[in-house]
Amino acid sequence: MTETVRPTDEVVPDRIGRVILGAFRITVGMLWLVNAGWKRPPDFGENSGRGLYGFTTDAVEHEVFPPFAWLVREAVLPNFRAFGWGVLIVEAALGAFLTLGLLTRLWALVGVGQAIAIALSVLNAPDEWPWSYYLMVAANLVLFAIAAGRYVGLDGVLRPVWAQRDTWSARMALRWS
Amino acid sequence: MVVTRIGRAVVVLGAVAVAFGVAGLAAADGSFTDRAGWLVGRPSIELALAGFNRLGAMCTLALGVVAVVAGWRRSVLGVGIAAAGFAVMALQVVVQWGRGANVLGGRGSNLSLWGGLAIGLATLAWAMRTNADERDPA
Repeated sequence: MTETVRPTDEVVPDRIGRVILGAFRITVGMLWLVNAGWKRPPDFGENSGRGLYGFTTDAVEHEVFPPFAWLVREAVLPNFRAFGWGVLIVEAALGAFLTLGLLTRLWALVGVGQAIAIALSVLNAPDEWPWSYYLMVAANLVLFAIAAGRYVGLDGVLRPVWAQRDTWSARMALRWS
Repeated sequence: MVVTRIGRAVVVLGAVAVAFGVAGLAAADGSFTDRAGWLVGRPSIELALAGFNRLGAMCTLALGVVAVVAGWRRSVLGVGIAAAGFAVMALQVVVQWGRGANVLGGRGSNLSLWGGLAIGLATLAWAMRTNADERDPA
């Protein structure tokens, strides 16, 4: 009698696998956390032409995708300080939630969006390594795919608590964790 | 005393804060409220994790100790106090970083670190409160 193994059989990671998945999620979280560090208010580099402002203008000066360059030129640069605050808050939140492993699937999707926006800004800029941005998108997609907060993360601790509660917020937390 | 799964998560977050506080105290130099802060990590390899002056490091360390003890003793109030403290520290970054004063010496990554500790501990305090098994039996 032979055991039937189907390609779609669920893979449950062993202890080492869970630790590695947790470490991978924390690494991606630290990527966002560390890079929130140099986005400095209140001008975010607008006065010096460097920092976040310099990278944002790359989207226009070294165009990757014309509609994105138009959006940056017409909407982002005229309101740059508000945009800078938005980037700082989003990236700090990505660092916090992904490192904690809290609502990981939701924040992984936010990370995918932010990584795509960064890629569309700087892929054609001089001295950039395009594959680093492809990998950034891929890493955040993997966190979503494997629901990485369930391994060495708060999602794994809190999902049983949310499952006991029949509320809208608990159902949303279960869906996005 | 039995440390529960949620209590253990609180202890881990508190221990992370203690580690950052100790590293911040080791790195910090200059005045107690130096606005530039001193970096923990290795900036040369893009691993500047967070910035601290002595006051910022001591507050992080103290709130971390509160979280560890509260997690160990299953004290919802203690976890809530630590979460509120870290929330105030994160808010300070938003209000002061990049301007004239920066009393804790933090930067954008501290917003992520302190904000994450606040969110994580507050969520765990809520979970302890909604689960009778998790609360301090006393």
